[in-house]
Amino acid sequence: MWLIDLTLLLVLIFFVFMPALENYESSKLFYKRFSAKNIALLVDTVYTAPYPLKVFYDEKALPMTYVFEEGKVIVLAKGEGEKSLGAVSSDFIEDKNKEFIYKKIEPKVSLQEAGKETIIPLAFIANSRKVEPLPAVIGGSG
Amino acid sequence: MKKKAIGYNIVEYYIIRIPYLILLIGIFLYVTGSLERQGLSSHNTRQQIIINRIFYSPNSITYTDSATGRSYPNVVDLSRFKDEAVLDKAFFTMQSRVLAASLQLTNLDTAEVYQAYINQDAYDRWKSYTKFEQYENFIDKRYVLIRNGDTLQKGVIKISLVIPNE
Repeated sequence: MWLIDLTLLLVLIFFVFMPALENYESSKLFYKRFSAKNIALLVDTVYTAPYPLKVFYDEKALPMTYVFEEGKVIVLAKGEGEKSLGAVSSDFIEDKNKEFIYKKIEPKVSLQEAGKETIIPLAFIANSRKVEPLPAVIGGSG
Repeated sequence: MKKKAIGYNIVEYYIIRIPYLILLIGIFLYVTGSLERQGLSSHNTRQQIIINRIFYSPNSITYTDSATGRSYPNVVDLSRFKDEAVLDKAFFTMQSRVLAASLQLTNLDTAEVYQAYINQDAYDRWKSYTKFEQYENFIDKRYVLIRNGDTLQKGVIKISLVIPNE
C-alpha cells in the first residue's frame, strides 16, 4: 500500500504541481498582475520628476490592453472588458496639480494575436501641467 | 481474503487519505500564492518612490524658487509643510487604499516640531495594524534644511509610511 501512496505523491508532484507552476509563470494572469503593478509604479515615478520628461516603458510582457482611469491602471487580455472578472488593476497616486489624461491604449491586433512576449507599446509624457500615457512605436514600423 | 473485504479495505484506506490529499493541495496553493506575492512584491520600491516624490516633486513640500522654477530637494518650505492642502493635492489618495504617511519635522535650531499627514484618516486606522501582515510600515529619517521665510534653519524629518499589502 505504501508503494501506491508514494507513486500517487510523485505523480501529483511531477505531473500536476510542477507543470501547474510552470504554466502559471507564463500565463496571462501573471503578466497582467506584473504589468499592472509595474506600470502603476512607473506612473508614481513620472510624478516624481521635477522637470518635463518622456519615458518609454521597455519591459517585456504579453501584449495587453491598458486602461488608465482615476487613480488606477487596468490590464486586460484580448476580449476582456473593464468589468470582466479577469481584469487586473493596480493603484497609483495621482498628483492633482497635474492633469492625468485618462485613456485606453490597445496593442496592435497582430501583436495580440501572436501572443508572444514583446516590449509593451507604452510611453508617458509629463510636464508641469499634465501626465499623459501614449501608445509607443515598436521597432520603428509604426 | 474475500474480494469484497479487499475492496472494502482499499476504500477505507483511501477515505482516510483524502483529507491529507486536500491538505497537500491546500499547502501547494498557499505556497504558490506566497511565491507570487513575494515575486511581485513592490513595497520597498513604492516606499522609495514615495520618499523621492516627497523630496523631489515641486508640488510637494520642497522649496521651489518661484523666479527660476528650480526645486531644492531636502530643503523643506515650512509654509508648504504647514499647509494641509499641499500634501493632500500632491498625493491624492482618493480610494484610501494605497498609502498613508505621517511626516514629523523638527527644527533643530528652535526645537519646534511640526506634523503633517498624507491620508490622515487612513494613517490613524492603519498604524495600529502594522504589526500584522496586511500593512507594512517604513520609517525614514533624514536631515534637511528648513526654509522659513528668507531664513534657512537646520532640521530633521521623520517619515512614517504605511502601505497596505495588495
